[in-house]
Amino acid sequence: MIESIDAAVTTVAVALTVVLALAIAGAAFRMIVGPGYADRFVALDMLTGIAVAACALTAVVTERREFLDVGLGLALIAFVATIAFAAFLEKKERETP
Amino acid sequence: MTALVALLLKLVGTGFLAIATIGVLRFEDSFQRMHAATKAGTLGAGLVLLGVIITKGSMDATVVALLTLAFLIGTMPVAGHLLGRAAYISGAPLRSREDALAGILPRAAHPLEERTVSAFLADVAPVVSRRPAAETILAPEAPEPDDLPYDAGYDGVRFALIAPHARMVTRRAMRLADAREAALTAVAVIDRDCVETARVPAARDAIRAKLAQAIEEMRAEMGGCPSRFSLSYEEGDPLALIPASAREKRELLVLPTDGWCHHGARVTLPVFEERLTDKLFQVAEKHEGPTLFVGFREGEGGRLVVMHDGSRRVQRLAAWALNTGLWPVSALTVVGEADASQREALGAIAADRGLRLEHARRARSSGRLLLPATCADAAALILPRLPERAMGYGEFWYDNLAPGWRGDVLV
Repeated sequence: MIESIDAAVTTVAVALTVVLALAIAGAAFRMIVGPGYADRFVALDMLTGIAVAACALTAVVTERREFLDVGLGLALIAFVATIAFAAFLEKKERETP
Repeated sequence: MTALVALLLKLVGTGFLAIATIGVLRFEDSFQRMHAATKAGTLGAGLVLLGVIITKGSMDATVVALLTLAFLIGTMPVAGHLLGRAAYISGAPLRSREDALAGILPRAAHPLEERTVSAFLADVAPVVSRRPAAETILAPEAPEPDDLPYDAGYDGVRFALIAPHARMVTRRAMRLADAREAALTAVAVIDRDCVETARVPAARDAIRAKLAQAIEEMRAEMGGCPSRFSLSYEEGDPLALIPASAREKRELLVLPTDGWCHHGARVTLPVFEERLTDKLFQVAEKHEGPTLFVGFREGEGGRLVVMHDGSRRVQRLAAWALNTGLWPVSALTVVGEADASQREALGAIAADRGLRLEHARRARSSGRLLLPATCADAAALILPRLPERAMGYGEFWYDNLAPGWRGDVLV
């Protein structure tokens, strides 16, 4: 019984990771296509959010705890990146009349 | 049981993330996309992390995952807010019918990508081609429009009635119109934006009262209506109503140096007063023809200073002002980068009037001040364009020309 649940947990986690991979593909599509800078940055923000979730699920699938650390690092970097992009957008406006 | 809860949390979280992705893919503008990404994204990632915590159960995994969760919840909204603000300011296209932030945040007219393409080409093209062929790649610079299609005189004088200075502006406009027997047009406008954004009740009535008072002052100043006079009284966008739209009418626009179409009524506005003075500049920019900002010297004669930037427009403007005799000029100084032929042309006009043209290089040490100290006795100033930002906050833009100087400025 316990083993069957364990197996189910892994299988579901794999399935969910695949779903998240599709979501990452979608966000990446929006990031590449744009059309504007703002759209790309929003998509990048979204993408890292999904990636954090995917990292957590991968930690369950592979039973390696390190992937959670990866997720934490990703979340940290994503925040800094988004703020940098926001500053870029705002600053550019001031420079180009 | 816990396994089931964990499963459910992960399922729901993944569902939210998937829905958020659909939102990011299918919404129409970046602000709607942002709404999907930040809200549903944070919730989805948070739920998945919670599910993983329950599945793992071990201490170290829980700590790391909880840290990640706390960090996500703390930062995603902040990042979303900053990104949204930056996107708005940078002019990302907006699909909604109304712009609720208009006038509260500055906003670029065109999105960044449209603006950077040309700027990038301008940067790169000379490096790549090393030839002046760059102009053919870029949109060729429009030939400078003949801003003043006439050599002297004007057929009409148009002046804005703006309350605190109504008397002075009226007096000057009347004198200018009389000198050429030109038609005189007074424009009294109530800025609808000011009425709508005012934070006091009955702002419209307060502004109307002030404007009525200004019109009263104008009538008193005129002492009965001169023959070729018209007054238009409107409520709307002053930028559309004050400037003359047809160049053929050859109108000279006379403006006060400060104030705006709330006419000094005590209405609290969400924008700074300084930005309202900038709007007076925009009126001048929109006007087809010369604009005269009336200083407190009442147009008495004296030294005329031309701030020359080498452009054709300021050259024509100076020639026009001299030929028209806007002021009784007693001395003429050209400051800045006029080339020899331009100086000669102005000198010839000046010689007709028995004047000698002096040329002064701009003292670089004068900092922000436009007018060199040697020309502080100037009665009037001709500028190629108005200063881009009118002033530091709370500083009168005239003081950026020269502190304490209050002559006329022709643009």
